[in-house]
Amino acid sequence: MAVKEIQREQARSIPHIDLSSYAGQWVAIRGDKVVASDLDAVALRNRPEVEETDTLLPVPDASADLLLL
Amino acid sequence: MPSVELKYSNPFGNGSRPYLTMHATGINGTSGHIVGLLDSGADTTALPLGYANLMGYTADQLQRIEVGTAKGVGYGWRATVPCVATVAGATPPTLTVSLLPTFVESATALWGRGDVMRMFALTIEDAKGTFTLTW
Repeated sequence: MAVKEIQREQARSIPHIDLSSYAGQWVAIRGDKVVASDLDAVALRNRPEVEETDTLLPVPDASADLLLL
Repeated sequence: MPSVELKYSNPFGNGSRPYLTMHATGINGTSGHIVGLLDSGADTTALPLGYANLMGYTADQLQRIEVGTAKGVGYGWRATVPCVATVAGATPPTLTVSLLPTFVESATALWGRGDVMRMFALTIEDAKGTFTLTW
């Protein structure tokens, strides 16, 4: 049932919360909750409230309507 | 051949796109999820610079290279030591790849054509808002 597990984990791991107030920062996400934020990725990981299983990701500026990378 | 259909998502509130989460393990052994955009225009995978520190890369394990983007030519730092990433939810070695990512000053992770996309065939159905990985 690898396919079901991939679908489940992909759906679970994508943030479903409004992160716009964290644009330009790194956030630590657990479930649907931001547990910490910081301008620096390593400083964020080292915060006591951040656990190893939290997802750490930078939040891009959401102002662009069209993304050209 | 097995395949999985996934829905577009909108994690940053700026539009629904084919985001894929990979579980990456750095050269320091730390691991975690990275949410990135499947980008067939990216030759190889590009990750936000902060991940270089999180994954344990040091300056002597990174090579400065020129990177062409829609904004023009900039600089990136390409890993010379590989890390490993697996499509989140898959069990290695299925959908697992060895990567030499380029770290760039961008907040968006891009999964590239020449590494991540060699693991699977990618079908994008933009009108449906879905994409399918077949391997």
